[in-house]
Amino acid sequence: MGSCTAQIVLKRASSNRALLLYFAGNDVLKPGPVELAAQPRASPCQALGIRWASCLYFLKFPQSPLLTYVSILVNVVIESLALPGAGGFAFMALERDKHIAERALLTMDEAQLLALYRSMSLIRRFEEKTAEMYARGKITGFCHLYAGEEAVAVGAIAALYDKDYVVSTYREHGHCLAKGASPRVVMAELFGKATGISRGHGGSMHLFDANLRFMGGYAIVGGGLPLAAGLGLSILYKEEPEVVCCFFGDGALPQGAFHETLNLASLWKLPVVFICENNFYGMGTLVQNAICQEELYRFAEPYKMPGVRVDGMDVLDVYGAVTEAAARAREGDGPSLIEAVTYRFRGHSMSDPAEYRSRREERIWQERDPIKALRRKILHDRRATENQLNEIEAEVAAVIDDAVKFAEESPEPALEELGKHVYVEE
Amino acid sequence: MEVTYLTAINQALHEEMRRDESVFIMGEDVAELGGAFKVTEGLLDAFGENRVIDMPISESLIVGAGIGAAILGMRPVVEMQFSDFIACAFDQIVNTAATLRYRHGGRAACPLVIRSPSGAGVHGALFHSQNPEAWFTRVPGLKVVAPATPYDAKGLLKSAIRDGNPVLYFEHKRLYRSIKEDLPEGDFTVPIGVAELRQSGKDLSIITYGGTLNQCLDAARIVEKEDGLSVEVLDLRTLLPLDREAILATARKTGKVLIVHEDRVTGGIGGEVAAIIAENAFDSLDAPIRRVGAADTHLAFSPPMEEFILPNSNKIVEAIRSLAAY
Repeated sequence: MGSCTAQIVLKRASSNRALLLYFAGNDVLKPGPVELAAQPRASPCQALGIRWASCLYFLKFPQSPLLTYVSILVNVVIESLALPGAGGFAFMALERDKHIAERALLTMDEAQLLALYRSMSLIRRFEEKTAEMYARGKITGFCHLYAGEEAVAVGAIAALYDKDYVVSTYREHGHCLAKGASPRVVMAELFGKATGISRGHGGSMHLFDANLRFMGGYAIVGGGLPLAAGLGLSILYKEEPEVVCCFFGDGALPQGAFHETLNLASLWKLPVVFICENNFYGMGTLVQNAICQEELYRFAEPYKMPGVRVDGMDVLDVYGAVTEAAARAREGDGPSLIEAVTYRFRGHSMSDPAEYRSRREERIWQERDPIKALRRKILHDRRATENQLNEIEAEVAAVIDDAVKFAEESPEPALEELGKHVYVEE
Repeated sequence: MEVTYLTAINQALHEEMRRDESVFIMGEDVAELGGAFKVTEGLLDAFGENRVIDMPISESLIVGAGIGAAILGMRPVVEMQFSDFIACAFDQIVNTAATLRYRHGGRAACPLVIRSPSGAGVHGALFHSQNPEAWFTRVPGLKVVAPATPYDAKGLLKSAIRDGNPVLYFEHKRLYRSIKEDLPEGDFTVPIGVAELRQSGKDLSIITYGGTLNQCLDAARIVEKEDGLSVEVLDLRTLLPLDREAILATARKTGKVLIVHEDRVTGGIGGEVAAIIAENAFDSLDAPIRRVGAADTHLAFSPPMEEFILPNSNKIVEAIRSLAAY
């Protein structure tokens, strides 16, 4: 790893193509011209085979047709040169240094590290089984998997106390499990069974458990944000010490609810940590085609709160950032916005083959698998043995198999219950 | 050529965009992805990104921007990815679009079409299954249509696009690929505000629309075969304005009326239809008006629960028999 300042000069070739004229840094030199986007709307990042998609933000050619040349100076950290499958060279450009993650790794004891590993593995296994059960017709409806993004939920929720609240999205299996829900009741909900966490009424997108302080998945994009403000208000009113961790995707930023909530949260210094899971696609629409400011953490600035971007494929980086933000919220200093750059390994939902992404892009991200990354780190630092990690994998597999069995054997909800939970019954 | 309900909608969009350059499409994932259900597939290639526009997830903005363009004479066809999400755009529809012409003394118009996939039966749970048409059928200034066949899907969408008013076009997502029909070559439209008699009969009338039409026709076939009953089936097609003449004609003809819709019974359009009949054709009635619709609860995820909540041909057969026996 080395760091450098690179200069990039782009020339517009047509409405959706650009030529890289010049790229130079201390450690790499790539003379142009190189055609950046062979296919419409492909990002320069893809064409260059750059490994870290956050640099995509810096390299994306501006939409304005008036601009012909763009020169950009970026600080890049060379992660690896000549990565196989990544097209020659790769670099990453994170706003934040990685020292926080490194510090977290050093200060955590073995049990904590292994708990993170277990939690991420549990979610991965759960999602793999979910996909299998969906393919077999055991699970129906709309179902959105979290595989690839585990480091965000696990890192963030590990940084909270049990009594802190979590608000989530429709891609919420991971958050719900990380908050402590039993895989049995989550799987049963996906099966629509009476034993499910929402008694089979809600399904995949509407998990909820007030005892765990998991305040729900929301199937309307941005729908959970105002509720997080309300939870925060209640905490302030009752003078309680909890904080709210509110997850949402990049697709939620254009919703009015996002802006209304951040304004109020900042104005009233509500104890909320806003975590934007930026996986680059709102269903099939690239973030650049939906949001004017592609560096999503910068939306913190107009709302006068701290904003940081973290590596959402690094559980420790997420953990470090959320620890800081939660402490701030708890001390009465108000909300923060954390953008966790991440990637979903599957399509938007079970019916989405993700044809809008190149297989190469997917491979590049799969190399950054957050579970494998933590595994490498743990083994490299000799914090646990390979055997220990394998045992965790096996244990987790058994837990998920048991969850599937439980869901399969559980009864359907009684039809007499249909009218039952519409109103509070005295 | 035999086409699906979904293809019929797609054809209407293609043809209207070719016919009139002021027609354009905006919505979430409508361009590159071709829509969540592939309804707008191929339009980006055919008409380019200036006329088929991917929007951020901002329903209120999508409708509001559509209204702005419509004021200037454009004919936007905007899509709500699921009709449930239309709630996020409610203010723009009922306050801004519906009143636009009236509040400017007739000096402006809002030729806007809002398409949205509605309906249950695909285990979409609470926010991907609703039938929100009745939220809008009491708002003057709007028109609301709900086609039940590929022919009507195409013809009504063309009429909606050519209409000078904001039209809400509810397409039933369960019908997309499940029904097919031979469509005539060339341009045709289906007039807004006109119901269609799907089947003539003398013993009783079913009044329905959208996702339940085929269930009603199935039920009518069953009771004809098993009970020798002759059932008339009227497809409303347009929900605002209602075709009062057709409603009253069938009520007067058979004297017994069953209203069927997938929307909930309470507050559904069936109540308005029943009131029209009770007020104007009471003397012709031989039995109380009956309604079959979704149970007055939320659309649960659990598949057996969902099935239990929704109307189906068995429930309709039962209702026909009890009404016939009255």
